[in-house]
Amino acid sequence: MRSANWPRWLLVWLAMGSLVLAVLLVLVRGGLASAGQTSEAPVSAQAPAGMSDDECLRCHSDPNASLSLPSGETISLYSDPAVFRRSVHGDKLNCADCHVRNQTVPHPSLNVVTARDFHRAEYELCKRCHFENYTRTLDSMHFDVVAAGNPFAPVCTDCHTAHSVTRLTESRVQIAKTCSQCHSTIYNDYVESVHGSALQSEGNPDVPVCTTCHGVHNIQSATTATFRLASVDMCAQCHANKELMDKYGISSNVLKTYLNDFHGKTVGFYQKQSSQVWAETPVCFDCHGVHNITRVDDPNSPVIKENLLPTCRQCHADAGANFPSAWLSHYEPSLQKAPIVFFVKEYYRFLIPLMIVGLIMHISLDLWRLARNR
Amino acid sequence: MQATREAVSPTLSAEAIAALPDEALEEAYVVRFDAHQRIQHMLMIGSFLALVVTGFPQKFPSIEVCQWLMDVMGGIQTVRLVHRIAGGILIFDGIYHMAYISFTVLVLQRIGPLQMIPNVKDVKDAVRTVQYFLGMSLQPPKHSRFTYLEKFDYWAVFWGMVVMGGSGLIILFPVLVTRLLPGQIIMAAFRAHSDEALLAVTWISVVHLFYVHLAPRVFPFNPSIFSGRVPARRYREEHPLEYAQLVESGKVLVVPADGPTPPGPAVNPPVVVFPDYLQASTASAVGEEPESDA
Repeated sequence: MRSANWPRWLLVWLAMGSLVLAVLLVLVRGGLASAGQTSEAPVSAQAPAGMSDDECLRCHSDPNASLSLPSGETISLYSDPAVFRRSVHGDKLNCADCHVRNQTVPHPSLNVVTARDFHRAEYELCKRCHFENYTRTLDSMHFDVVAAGNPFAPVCTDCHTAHSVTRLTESRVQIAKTCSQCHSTIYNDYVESVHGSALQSEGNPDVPVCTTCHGVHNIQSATTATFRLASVDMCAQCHANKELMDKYGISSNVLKTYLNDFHGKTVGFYQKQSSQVWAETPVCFDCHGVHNITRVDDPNSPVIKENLLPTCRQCHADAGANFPSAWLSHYEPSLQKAPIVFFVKEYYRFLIPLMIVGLIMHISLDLWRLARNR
Repeated sequence: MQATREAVSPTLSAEAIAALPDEALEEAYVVRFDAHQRIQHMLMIGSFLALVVTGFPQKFPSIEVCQWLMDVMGGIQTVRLVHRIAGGILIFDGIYHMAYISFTVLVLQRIGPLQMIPNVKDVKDAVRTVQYFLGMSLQPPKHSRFTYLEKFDYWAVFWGMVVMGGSGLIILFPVLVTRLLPGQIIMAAFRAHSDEALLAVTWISVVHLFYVHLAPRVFPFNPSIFSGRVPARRYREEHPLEYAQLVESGKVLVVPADGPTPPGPAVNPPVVVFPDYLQASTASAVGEEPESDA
């Protein structure tokens, strides 16, 4: 009854208005959904991203922009666009290409407690493009450390940074520096070593940096039996390379002489064996040192003649003064270096063929006579 | 001892034995090795084979069969343990042998083992043998207890035992050894152990195997080191001088054909053993002769 009292034109406008509103609602919701879909497509497709960098920087160019976390920590939300543009991604990506979930304002709420939680959640963004290297890190001992409950083991952004990513391969010095952020004690040893000092002082392109020996993304523990046994060949990659070693006047015979000697023989067997055992037998770095490795003629070298006995005694506790000379110091036995060994070697080199030829002749003659007598 | 001396009483005269047909000598035998010698040799075969099987994969690690063997035997640690135990057994065997020789020569006053010492005749025999092989001589030389080749075989093994046992102990106890000797000795022993092993295996697998087992007269297998016996007929061919001496000096034994095998462990020097029915047949043969003579 009351509605009948309303003017007819008002009813028409109300009806038309709600229809338009309904259509608009449908359109807006549909539009949002389609925007979400495109943002999940590969970045290379250069899909029209929701937000432009300018929109992001409206807030994130403020150096004081920060976020307080439930843990009480504060993380900076500032990003210097100039730094990002100089990075390896600078000419390829925009903010929203990586930060896909933050394309709406206000951003969806974060489900993190600590700053580390936040960084560990954000680094997953890298895998959208760098899936292969991301997967490798899952096989690394750093990931094992995380799995064992330590969240501070490095993720992509810890080594590569988030926004100022450079090609680490461009600077070998930078690689060692990167690792030193956590492994500072080892780094200090390394820069003093024959390898590290050459890297620091002359930017030597031949000396190993951390990743040369330890690998890059799938870095393995250096305290396993597998690593220990493989380490011999790892050193040999350079030290058995004649061309490379000649450059520095170092013997490239070291692997061969090692493998022919008592220690190396044993390690050689362990390497071939199907079951992995911890080789008590010394490998290169047990005598020469690991990160603090020195030149073999350095007065502090553990393998220089004066220091060899204490080095031997690490395993052979009761070794006497004569003991170290049992090891031929990577030399092939010769008249000058080890005359007794040399003579023994030559004696058998002469005796064995002589004996074999003599025996075969004796037997052949015997058989021949037997055949003739029949 | 007592039993042995009694047993070695002339029950068959040299003439009676000479009258036996060749076929009868197939059934008679010479006890060439006593129980000690047989035990020594068995210890040696066992430990030597174990040493070869565990040693060669260590010498030739790049050969696939050796790698396979190494894995099958439980890896280098197990292989080395077995190698060292076998080495210990062989060293013990060597000491046992030396004690046995010393006891025989010094206490029992028997010169038997001394016949192994090389002499001028061995050189002449070797030359004669080669001449015979080449057709320059019609007869091979006549051998006594040990032929020159057997002596060579024995001394090669003797020398090999000293080198292998010595060098093995040196590389097993390097810290101890370098207390007295220069360090180089360790590497020299390491080298010698490896090379001498090759020599020993070549020697055993060529000379010993051929002359003891594969030579046409004994083919395919000569069991005398296990039984201690060599058929008298073959003995007469191979060691004619010793055989004649045994027969002449009456070191002959006649035993019941189905009785236990004499003689006991301590028989040294050797005797020729005839089954008793051979004695009976010769006795009648010999017995007839005087009658015809009379």
